[in-house]
Amino acid sequence: MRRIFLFICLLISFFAEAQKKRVPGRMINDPERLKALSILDSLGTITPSTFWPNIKPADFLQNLRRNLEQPYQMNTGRNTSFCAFGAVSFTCLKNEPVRYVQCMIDLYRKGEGFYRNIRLAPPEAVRLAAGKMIFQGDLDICPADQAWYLSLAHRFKGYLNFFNRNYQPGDENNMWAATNLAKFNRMLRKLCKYQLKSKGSDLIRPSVPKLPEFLQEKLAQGEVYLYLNNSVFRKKNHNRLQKWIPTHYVVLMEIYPGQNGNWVVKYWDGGYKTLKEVSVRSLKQITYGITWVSYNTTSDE
Amino acid sequence: MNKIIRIIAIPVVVLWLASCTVSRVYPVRYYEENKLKLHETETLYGQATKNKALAIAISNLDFSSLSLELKTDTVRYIYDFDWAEPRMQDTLLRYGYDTSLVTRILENMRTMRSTWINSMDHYIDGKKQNLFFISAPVRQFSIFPPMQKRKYYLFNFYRQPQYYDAEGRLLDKRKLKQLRKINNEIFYRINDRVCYTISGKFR
Repeated sequence: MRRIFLFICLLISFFAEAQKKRVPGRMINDPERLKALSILDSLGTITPSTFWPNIKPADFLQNLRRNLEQPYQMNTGRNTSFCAFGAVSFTCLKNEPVRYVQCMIDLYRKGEGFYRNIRLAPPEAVRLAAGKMIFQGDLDICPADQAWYLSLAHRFKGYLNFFNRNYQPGDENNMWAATNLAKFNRMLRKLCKYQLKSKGSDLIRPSVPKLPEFLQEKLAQGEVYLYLNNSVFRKKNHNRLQKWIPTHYVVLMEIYPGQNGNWVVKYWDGGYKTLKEVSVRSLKQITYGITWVSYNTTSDE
Repeated sequence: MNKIIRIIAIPVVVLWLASCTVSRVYPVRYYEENKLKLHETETLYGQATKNKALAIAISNLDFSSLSLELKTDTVRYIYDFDWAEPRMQDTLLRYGYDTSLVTRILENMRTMRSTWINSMDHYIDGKKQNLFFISAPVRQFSIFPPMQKRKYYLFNFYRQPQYYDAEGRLLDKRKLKQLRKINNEIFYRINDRVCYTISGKFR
């Protein structure tokens, strides 16, 4: 009996260890990107999907091609709550373009797609909304991105979505698509199988004495995602009383010392790389969550 | 005692409620008063951003500091400056902007008390369109300024005449029965090309 128990424990730890082994690459995965493009080429044209009546096949394929050719320009829209999904998509597109393309093609053709074992099968209300967004910048002409973000927002839920779980038109801009830090980390773990680490929370900032140096160190070792209070970073009103809550996810690209003791932060922010010089105090004030995943673990998946 | 509380409370509540709403007459009045400057700024902005996009945000309402967003194809550079700081001209020159045009835009913004200028790309029937976006803070009275929630007039300047319903609300060209919401706000007609809304955010 004791031996069986030990054997089961060993088996569980073996599978758990096997799941931990995926890591992101330092650079864009070009061999896979070319393979994904060849998959698109081999498709030629596809028939219009009954599941996505507002998405034309040509626009859909063109959008996928654009994402593969220019992965840093995948747009999350002007006023949506898709920033967290954008940050997750960034690493999916950078590291696993083939998996992304296969999932998207299935999603379009069958109304459901699998990214690893994560099933994306949005309901009709969501499927009808994809392809109809307007005044969201480049997202307007990216129906495949609309379908992808809406499907992710439908699939992953956190406590912020408790009061708004069923999609209504316009919900992409509000709490239906909002993402708390735990949900963001869960998405990364489930979709990408990363062994990630995280500091911070939805309300209390992480206590990191030398934050810029810490971020620099983590960035040298892997991918870093930040959960920020964007209303301080990019002011949207002049109220004296500002909300002290994080609202925005970005992918950190670079951080280095600037002038007068400030630091230059470069981050990917849904379609753009943004570069801004900030003081250490401001950086500490706006950073609520840091999630990082290392390049260094050996990958054999 | 109850009577005194009521005498104090009722006007306070009325004032508080009144301070939360902004009449739709004021943005039209603001537009008429600043019409020339607004259209001049639109033209200047069009010239200044012919090759490269630019957005200007005023960080403080006393116009002591501002933030410039300089956009290239892939990177958006955000720089904070004090008003008329020499460093700003150097930065604009470095990125290839016409400094005299940008200076005139900034002067107009200060005259009109505008806090945000940007252009917005959007797509109608798959075709890229561009509109000029400018906002200005509403002059508000507040009993307790630290708690005050600011409101802004947001103006959209289109290149082509737009569609409106009988109540003057901006309609979506693709489906004329559907209201066109921008940043989740309904916009109202000033004229065929210009519309406005009142919002809690200036961008």
